[in-house]
Amino acid sequence: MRELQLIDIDKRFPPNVQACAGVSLTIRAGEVLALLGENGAGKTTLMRIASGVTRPDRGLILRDGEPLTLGSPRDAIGHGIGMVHQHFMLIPRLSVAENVVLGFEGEGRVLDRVRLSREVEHFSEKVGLRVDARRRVDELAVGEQQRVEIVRALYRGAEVLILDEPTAVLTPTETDGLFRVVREMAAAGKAVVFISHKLHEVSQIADRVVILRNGEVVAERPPTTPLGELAALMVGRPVEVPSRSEAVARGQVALELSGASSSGAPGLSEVSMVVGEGEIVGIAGVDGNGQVALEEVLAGVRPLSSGTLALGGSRLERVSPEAIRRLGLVRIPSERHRDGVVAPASVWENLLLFDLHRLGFARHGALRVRAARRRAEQLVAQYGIRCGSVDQSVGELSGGNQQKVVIARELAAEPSVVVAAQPTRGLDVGATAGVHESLLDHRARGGAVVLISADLDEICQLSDRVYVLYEGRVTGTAGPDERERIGRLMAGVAA
Amino acid sequence: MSVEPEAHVLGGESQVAPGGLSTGATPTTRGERRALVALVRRGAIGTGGTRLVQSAIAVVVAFALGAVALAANGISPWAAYAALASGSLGGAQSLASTAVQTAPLLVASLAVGISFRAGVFNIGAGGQLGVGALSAALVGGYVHLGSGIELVAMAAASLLGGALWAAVPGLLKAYTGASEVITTLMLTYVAANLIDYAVTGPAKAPGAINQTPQLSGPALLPTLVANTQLTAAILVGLVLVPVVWLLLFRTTYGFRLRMVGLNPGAATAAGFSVRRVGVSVLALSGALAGLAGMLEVAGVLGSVPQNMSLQVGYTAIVVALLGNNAPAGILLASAFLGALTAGSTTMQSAVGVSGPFVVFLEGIMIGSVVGMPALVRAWSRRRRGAARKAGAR
Ligand SMILES: Nc1ncnc2c1ncn2[C@@H]1O[C@H](COP(=O)(O)OP(=O)(O)OP(=O)(O)O)[C@@H](O)[C@H]1O
Ligand SMILES: [Mg+2]
Repeated sequence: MRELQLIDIDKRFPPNVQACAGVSLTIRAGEVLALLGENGAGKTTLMRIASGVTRPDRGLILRDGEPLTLGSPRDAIGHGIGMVHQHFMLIPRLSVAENVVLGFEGEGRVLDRVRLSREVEHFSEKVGLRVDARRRVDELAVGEQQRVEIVRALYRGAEVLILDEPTAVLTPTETDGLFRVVREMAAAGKAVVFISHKLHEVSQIADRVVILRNGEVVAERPPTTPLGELAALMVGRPVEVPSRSEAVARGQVALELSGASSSGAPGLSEVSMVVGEGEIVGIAGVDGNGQVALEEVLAGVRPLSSGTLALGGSRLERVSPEAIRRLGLVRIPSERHRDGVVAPASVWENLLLFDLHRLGFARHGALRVRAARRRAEQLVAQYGIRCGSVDQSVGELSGGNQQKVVIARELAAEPSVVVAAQPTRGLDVGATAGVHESLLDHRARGGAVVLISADLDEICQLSDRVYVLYEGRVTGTAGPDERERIGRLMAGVAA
Repeated sequence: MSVEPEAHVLGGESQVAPGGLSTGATPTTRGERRALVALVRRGAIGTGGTRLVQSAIAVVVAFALGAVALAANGISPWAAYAALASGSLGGAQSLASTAVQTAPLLVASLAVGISFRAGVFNIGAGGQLGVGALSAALVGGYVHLGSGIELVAMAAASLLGGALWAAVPGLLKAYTGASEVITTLMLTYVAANLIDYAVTGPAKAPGAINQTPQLSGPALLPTLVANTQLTAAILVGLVLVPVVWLLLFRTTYGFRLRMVGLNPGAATAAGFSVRRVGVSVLALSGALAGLAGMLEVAGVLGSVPQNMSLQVGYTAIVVALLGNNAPAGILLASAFLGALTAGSTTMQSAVGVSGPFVVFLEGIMIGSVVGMPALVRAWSRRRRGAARKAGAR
């Protein structure tokens, strides 16, 4: 194959979302093409069209000048087009190995599970993305699921490989591994489409950058383009990166964990930390070192096996999600689909989810639908959530906009403590700046923030102080400017 | 929406929640649960319009396959269906008997639909209906109050009886993790035995027949049309349709219930207690099913007989699925299945079709409603495939 062309692609979602408007794009063999664009710009939709998942309303797909009709992902795979999806499409109940080979088991043979697992593990090691082939997918953390998705696409072999935000949940090392594979593929004459909101990754891996805005191609640039320019092209105006102002006078202790241990893989062991009013405390660490346990302990969904949690100076006797919310702690969960949104429910219902009573949308048990919708409309405008209407189901929104729904809801609750776990995962530069600004605002008003993030840049940019988690323990504290020290602590090296 | 088929199998949505549901149950019941969740979610999502079309297609498919089965047995499908139609819709008597069949079915289906909306699978509405019927019959037969009050007391007894009967699986689920799919079903058998015990022993009416005392006067629902069995039972059902809608969509309880049903994870994170919603929704569902039993006793049967049929509890599952767990949809679907039941007697006597034929039709309808999305996808893919081949030539 020399090239795959998408010509004049239109796709509209009823009632009024024009996801792609006359998009033309050429994907050439031997190159890595980066696709940039705001949340909801239409990147995923366009690539789902190229991989046979979604059908365009209009437009042509040509492979070396020959028109293709892609009726299903299977057709696309038949033509050498494979895609790693932003929202995983794995079957939770099956093992990793079964997911990887699903549909490609070969003809008329009984599945030999042992051999299969070995083969898949072997393959995954070869491409540098380690997976445990025997485990069930529903037991895996997001990062691991992402690795499985990528391994699956690579295993199937593709002339054109589309990667939709593959690095959002990968660690830096895993990202490096993936990039090595991507470069090898390009060198072998294959084409790779790479979607990411992390601009430095784009400039690192891409040969060419195409920028989408509102469903149209607005620019094409070389990867050497300054990141600020790329960001401005995406958003349509210059993006200001909010920065931390001078430390606000630290107030009372807002949150305190002492000697906290919990279950989990890994769980917390003997974690103590203090978060004051008016400060952002960053929790740095490589994904999978107890961040999930910490997040859930703070939100009250995971019980402490020992130790105590205190909010606003008073120790909590009975820890429950309700009690904790009532004391003014909210959470932006890292697993958005599981804990953050009710995908089939509408935007207004999702925005209402938590504060039904406190906000006065309940009157003698009756739901004040009209008032709730009106407030949802305000929040949609205030946080720039892109949706057809507040009645649209959240599952239909782009990934970034789903996250905005969560953030809008949580911050609108006017909390005293915000636990933000991977809050900008999958968000575009503009939206990321928006979230950062919201968190800094909260701090400026004297609120406390616990920022759990695998993105060290984000941690250093926003935090007043940093705790480093390693295998469920706090291995040290650091100032936001001590990057090297944080890096060493993250690696478990005594610093 | 076009989504990769594999994803549909589980979530009915393009995003399969990573991690899935952690119910803490054993893998087998978890698998079984997932299948049911998928089955019911598929009903719960999708716009009303497309669901209506799907249900309509399911009905057509059922009739078409039914016709084949009839013809294979040497019975004219035309004559059989004509008899079915005349027995359910032809004339005042037939319409009345359709309404008579519809009333308890409608109420039981609302009960089942509510539980499905919360992601709780009350498939034992039959048992709760039986206990409700028995409770009402006992109050009506042994406690004599004035007219009006008598019926209210009977209704209260049936609501309470059904609620308690269903609360048992609710509590078992909340505190031991036992799947309500199994326990509600099992309790239906227990209810059947309880009824038999009662009507042959302690609550047996004087006389030869094993039944509870015959209800009379103030313990019977008033007749609406003279010379028919049509009673106020249907009015109760019709009033409950908007009531249930309001409950689901305009109360905070209904909101919590629906959110828990759609994503227990997020609902838990929101501080809604999945456990509490689960227990209360089963009790509520059981109460309504119990009320359906009271309508049957005070409207049609006049007493609880030995071997009382609890079939309505299963038919209600069909109705809830056909009606997309929405009150208006359930009203339509229960009227339709009520008509089928009413017409089946006429069909039986006119062309000699055996009774279970209607159950057979219901079975096909469930199959087609559940399998419809997959069928539609397969069909459109084949059509596209054919178009492609044609284009290649
Ligand atoms: N199935 C659908 N039904 C309705 N609207 C949809 C559907 N899929 C996507 N959309 C809408 O189409 C637009 C483009 O979405 P798309 O997912 O392609 O964005 P994206 O560029 O990938 O964004 P992100 O960076 O957030 O992933 C969005 O406004 C989204 O809400
Ligand atoms: Mg996307």
